[in-house]
Amino acid sequence: MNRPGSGRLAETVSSAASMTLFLIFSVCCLIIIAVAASAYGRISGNYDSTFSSAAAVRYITNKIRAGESAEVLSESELLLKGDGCVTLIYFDGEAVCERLFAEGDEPVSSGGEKMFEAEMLTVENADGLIKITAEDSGHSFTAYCRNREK
Amino acid sequence: MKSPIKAVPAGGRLNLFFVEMIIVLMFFSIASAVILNAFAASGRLSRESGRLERMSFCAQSAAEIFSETGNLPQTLEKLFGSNSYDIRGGDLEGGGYDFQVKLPLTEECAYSPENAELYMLVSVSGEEPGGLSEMQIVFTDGNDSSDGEVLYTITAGAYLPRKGTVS
Repeated sequence: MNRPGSGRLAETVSSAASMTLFLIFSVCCLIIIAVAASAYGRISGNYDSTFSSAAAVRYITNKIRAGESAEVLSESELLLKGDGCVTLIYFDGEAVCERLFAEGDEPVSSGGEKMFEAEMLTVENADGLIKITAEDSGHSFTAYCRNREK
Repeated sequence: MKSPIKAVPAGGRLNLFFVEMIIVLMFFSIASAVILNAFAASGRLSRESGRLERMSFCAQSAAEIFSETGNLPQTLEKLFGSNSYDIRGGDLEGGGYDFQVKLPLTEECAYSPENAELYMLVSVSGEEPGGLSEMQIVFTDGNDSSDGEVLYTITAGAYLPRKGTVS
């Protein structure tokens, strides 16, 4: 035989247990969301730091290979000669930019199209090779490319 | 002593909310296990792709330098700095043209015998300068005593310039 009030106690405890389960569920949801956000942030950061500078270096090396000749004008300026036009690739302090000029025009490193965001771009002549280094978010990529113009 | 927490209380009415929460938590724990695995895998893949990108840059640069200089020690010196390589099975003094080099590198593809995380094997076979030479670059994650898993391979061919004599 049940004692008086024991049914009400069971109901209260049962409700409390249900509420505790609901609380556990909510906390677990929050933890999973936090972990997901952290994983997404890590992957996105890694992608940005790796692929932005890598894409800039790869773009420039492909341009050098496709062009007729390349000339290093300064530490951050590269002039590529092609069919009837020249392409100037330069760094404006924030991004790697590119501007086309007609052959014979004086190339000016301003007003070009921003191609890739970067913190630094250096172009050097290294014994017949062109050394290109791009840095973004603390990660730098370097590539060597043969220069057809000797 | 009987537990007061019951899915079916004394009144006989089923505590549906309690049962539902148990089922929800069960599904949630299974789903979280799968999702956390997926997060960990995606993080690992992201790191791996960054590492592969560096390896491809390193290998392409080595191939470009080698095709320009035709000289393996010069190639490695330009890539990793002076004397930062160990020649194994090479025949530098004998005037041969087949070489094999194993370089310990960090994940950033920098030469480091102390913190080697991957190895770059470079083998060059070919003819005398003026002929065709083939260079194979293999990246592995094995330690010094084993070959390890092959991570990236590139083979490049180049006609060695006559100036590129082995010295």
